[in-house]
Amino acid sequence: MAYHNIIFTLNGEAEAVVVPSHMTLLQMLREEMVMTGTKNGCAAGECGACTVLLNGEPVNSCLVLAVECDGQELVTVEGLAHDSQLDPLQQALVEAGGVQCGFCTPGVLISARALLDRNPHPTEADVRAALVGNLCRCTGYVRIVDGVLAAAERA
Amino acid sequence: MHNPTPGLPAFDYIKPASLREASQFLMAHGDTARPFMGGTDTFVRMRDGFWREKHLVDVKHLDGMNTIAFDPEIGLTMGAAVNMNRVIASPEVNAHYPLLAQAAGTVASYQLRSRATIVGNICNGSPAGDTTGACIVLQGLLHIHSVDGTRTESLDNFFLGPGKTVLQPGDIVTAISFPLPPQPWTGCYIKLGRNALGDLAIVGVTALGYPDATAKSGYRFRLALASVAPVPLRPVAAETILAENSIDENIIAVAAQAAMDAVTPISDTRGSARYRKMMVRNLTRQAVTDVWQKIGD
Amino acid sequence: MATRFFGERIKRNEDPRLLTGQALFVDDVKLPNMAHAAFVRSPYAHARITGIDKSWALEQDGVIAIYTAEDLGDYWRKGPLNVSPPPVERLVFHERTHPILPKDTVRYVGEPVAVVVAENRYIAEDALDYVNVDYDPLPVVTDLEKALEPDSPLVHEDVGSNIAAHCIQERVPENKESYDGVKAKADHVIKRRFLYEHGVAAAMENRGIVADWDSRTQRLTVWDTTQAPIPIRNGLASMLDLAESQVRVIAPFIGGGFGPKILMFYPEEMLIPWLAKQLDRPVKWIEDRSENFLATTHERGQIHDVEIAFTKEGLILGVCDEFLHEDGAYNPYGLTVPINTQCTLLGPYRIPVYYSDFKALFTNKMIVMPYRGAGRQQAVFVMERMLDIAAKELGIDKFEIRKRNFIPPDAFPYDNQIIYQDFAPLVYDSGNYLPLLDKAIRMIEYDKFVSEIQPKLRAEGRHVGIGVVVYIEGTGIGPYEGARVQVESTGKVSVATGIGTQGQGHYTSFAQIVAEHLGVPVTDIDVTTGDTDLFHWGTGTFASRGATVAGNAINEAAKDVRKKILKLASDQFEVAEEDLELVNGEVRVKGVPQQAMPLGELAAKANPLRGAVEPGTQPGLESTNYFGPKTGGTASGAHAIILEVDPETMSVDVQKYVVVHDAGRVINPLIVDGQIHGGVAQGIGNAFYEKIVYDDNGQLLSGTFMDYLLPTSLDVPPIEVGHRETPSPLNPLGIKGAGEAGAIPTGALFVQALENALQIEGLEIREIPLSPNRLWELVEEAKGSGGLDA
Repeated sequence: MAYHNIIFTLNGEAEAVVVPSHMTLLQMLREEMVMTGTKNGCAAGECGACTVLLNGEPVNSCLVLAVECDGQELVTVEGLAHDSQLDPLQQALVEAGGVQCGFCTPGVLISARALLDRNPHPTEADVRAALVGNLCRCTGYVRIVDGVLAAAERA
Repeated sequence: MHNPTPGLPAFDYIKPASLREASQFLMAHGDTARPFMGGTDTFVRMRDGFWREKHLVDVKHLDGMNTIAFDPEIGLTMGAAVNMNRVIASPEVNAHYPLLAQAAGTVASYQLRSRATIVGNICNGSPAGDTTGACIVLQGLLHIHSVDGTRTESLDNFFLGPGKTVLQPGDIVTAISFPLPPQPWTGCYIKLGRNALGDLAIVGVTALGYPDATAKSGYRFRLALASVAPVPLRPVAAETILAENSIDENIIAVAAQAAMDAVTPISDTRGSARYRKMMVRNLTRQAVTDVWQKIGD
Repeated sequence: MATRFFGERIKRNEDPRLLTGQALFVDDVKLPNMAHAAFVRSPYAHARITGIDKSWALEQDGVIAIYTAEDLGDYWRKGPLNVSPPPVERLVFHERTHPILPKDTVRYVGEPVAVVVAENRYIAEDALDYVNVDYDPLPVVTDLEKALEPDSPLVHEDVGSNIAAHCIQERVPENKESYDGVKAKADHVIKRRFLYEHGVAAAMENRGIVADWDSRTQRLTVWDTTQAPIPIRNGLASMLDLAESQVRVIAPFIGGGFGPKILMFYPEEMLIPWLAKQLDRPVKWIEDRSENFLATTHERGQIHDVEIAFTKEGLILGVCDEFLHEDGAYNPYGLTVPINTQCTLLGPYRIPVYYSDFKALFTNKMIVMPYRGAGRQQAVFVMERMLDIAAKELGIDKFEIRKRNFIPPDAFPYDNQIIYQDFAPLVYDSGNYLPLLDKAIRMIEYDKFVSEIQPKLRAEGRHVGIGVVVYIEGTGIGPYEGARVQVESTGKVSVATGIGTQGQGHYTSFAQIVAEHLGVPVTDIDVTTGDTDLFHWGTGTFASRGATVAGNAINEAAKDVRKKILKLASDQFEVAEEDLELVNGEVRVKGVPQQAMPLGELAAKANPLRGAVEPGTQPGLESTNYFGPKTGGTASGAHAIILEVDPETMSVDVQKYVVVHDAGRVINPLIVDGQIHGGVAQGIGNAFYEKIVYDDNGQLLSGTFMDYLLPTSLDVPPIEVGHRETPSPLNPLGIKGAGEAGAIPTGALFVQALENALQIEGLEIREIPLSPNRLWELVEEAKGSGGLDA
């Protein structure tokens, strides 16, 4: 079994980890680094609970190898808030009532953050299309969409 | 039923420094090694135990894999590792080959499109690939690097069966290029899934049409069908009907019928064989009509 | 003037932790020296186990132990029956609960056969392939009607048939005729067969358990994704020969429950804690998504043969329904689901005579147990469809026929005279159905749609349709729940209750109830749910009862604490209690704001370190109270939809969705609306996207999200919710449950709207789920075209 020494930035901090070839980014985050905000819902790229930003783009971390992150930049949900102050997107989601059980929430926040970064004034259709890879079983998406649109309006 | 595993089976990750090194490694390791780029197909199949290679060779950083270049004399060259989101956003693609961007937009989700590649889908030989039809009708040419040098393969005889292509051990597709399409042309991709977006295609119809004085009807159509045969299928009989007969609603319906007659779909959880056949007819009619309405005046 | 909390749309206390990734879910629990478990599962739907060879697997590096049924020794057992059959006279019931691990026969694909414990999850999972189990396959029964045939393979040989239960309930008013008599005199009798299949909950969080046995303190701590931590704790104590006080079960943040997480006990739940004790190491098991599809409970199909006798004005004279219900391989949850169906079929209508007969059948598939709606959607589908059909056949407007049959608002409490899932007679406490229907009709702009919008779109070749249906939902059943409210010396208020939370916002809605009485800001009220160390009396979160039952217990406790505050403060300030008020965390004299004391200070005074106390005084500002409703309140609602069908593909686009809901008084509208939104999304999934598919060998074909489609952000439209309140007289807060409502009538609604959109003579849809493919087949059948068309 091959091991790799990898160096990357995670939420702005430099990290160095040793990982076996077949470890996924999701496993590395949750198990090696105890960053448990990112969730495992299906391990097959279908539910989006594991979404993180890799070089600014949302990816399903269950389908990325940890070793592929060498030299790259990662952002997870833990990196969105600043000093325990919610960022405007998180705040807007709270106020809209877009969180119920919270399991899909980290992935939703990451996808929404990336959407607003590339399209600061999305339409409702844009928001829905951007979130199609984030399954939610609790909210019916109604208030998630409201929250993201509200965040866009404020920015 | 196989026992599910949450993680991937053990394998070695190889990151070769050059195409030469990559091809040599792949050649030397035969069926114990496989190249990968986005991994969205590869990792799922390895997790499920369908693919069992001991070495996964990452090729997406290699020369030429990430460029998108348009030459007004020659056409478009797209590196194999260009992900679908980049295709959708590319000014060159949107200006000159918008069908590619449109087809890519029907795939899965933003997260998957950040990693999935058009070439990766072609190499996996899936008859359900949403972008493969567009590549076929745009006459895409694969550029392949192997230990013997480089060569090109057209998509016409590339697919041998579900999951099977003409690629050999050691082959790495580095790019796909598209010649300049005959102007003025229009194309569209209609995908039928069980939901608005995210499902695999139950049926996918790609249609491209352009005026052509050498055709009796004055127009030529290129059609490609996804998910209705063991390989992505060109319903040649349908194309011929549209080339030989004056085009109107009636002929379009006849061509759609011919497309339906050409397919041999299976029944699965997504749709029955009969429904798929009917949808080939209906969606071919729709796609050809859409294109016809744009080029036919 | 005190601020109002009850009824306000207050932001949730728990959200910041969920949003920053700090909330603890079971899979986030990581303990030193923790081992991991994985399960060998049966690849056959029905087979004898003729041998299990663990030797090769045990040789693998990192494998600690492997257990089969034999290895459990005295610990081997069957799971308990969660719900006894209700006291219905004409009832046959064969209890066959699932074994902890099967000794000799497997009965569904995915049934756990052996457990492997290893140093980490990956070694455990890999080792599964090295466990050799020899199976002798047996014939499989998967189809409900075939299961009844005399030569059908039997899931449980010793039952002699596949009939798990046969239950007949009948309502015949005194001195009146039974259904047959009524039918003979009816102007019009309609008879139909309906097929309804519900699906799987597919919560985003898979199940999981972490168990930690501390041999020094002799305490077992278990983190479990359960909806019922207290019964799990009591059950584990009993199974493991421990005192209840030695066992702590924690249901931390749970990523969605919806019903399946209430089964007491899954095989894994009986095993993992035992393993922790045996091995003297913490053990963790987390379910995989494919295991969730296979081996977390389902709700599946029912076949109804129903007949309704009508007058020519469309008044229902009597209903006769015979149905088959699928239980799956075992029936640990008793008859809850089909009894719910049996009862909910009556709906908001006056039905003078009712005859309902169901058979619950064993099949070689996963266990069937409640999933949001729990048997009610089937019933609403049947009744609402029958009324649509009757309206057409009798030439009466479909809303008019419903209105004529509604139970009038002055008829409550309304006794339906049959037994409900809580073993009490089905009595509707309060309700007013006509305004619900009228409001839904108005909110969807029904008249404008049918007179202007629809004809215009039709002329353009577009097939848009509209639908409105009505339903009732029995909620808030007993037996009881409890709560403790305490003002701490910091001034914060702590609240503990035994039920768990899976996203319903209990941390906030319960805080609002307390805030209303104590005048403390909601953000200063800390609610704990689902930790048996903090509260150990109660049942769990299910059947839309959390807010009603636990909420009322909290209400009683908060009221008592308020009394204690006022009494003590009255002594302290030497003023009468009526002259005091509780505002913003303080108790103060009305009109004299400087005469105030923070509640924390008062609490400290209530717990003196020196001096004597009066006999009978209780320390602190704390109270523990219980609430047990005699029966549950009946919520009700109307749903409306506008959708468009693509006639070429039969794909559907839902454009507008309206819910008018009556759950009595509402604690937090933000939270209730959220529950409704989620329920509607699951209802849409059930109606058009989700289908559990087993092949004839009992193999599950719909075992991933690629095959079993959950509705996405593009499939669920914006949902408008309107409210009406008919308070429940059954509890002091006047509240009824709302958890399941959104999911219940969607199938019936979809079908009404689809028929309205397609307007095809002869198209009468009598099944759920649909899909573009299935809808297309039904349309082809209705048009009379068989075989390939030209």
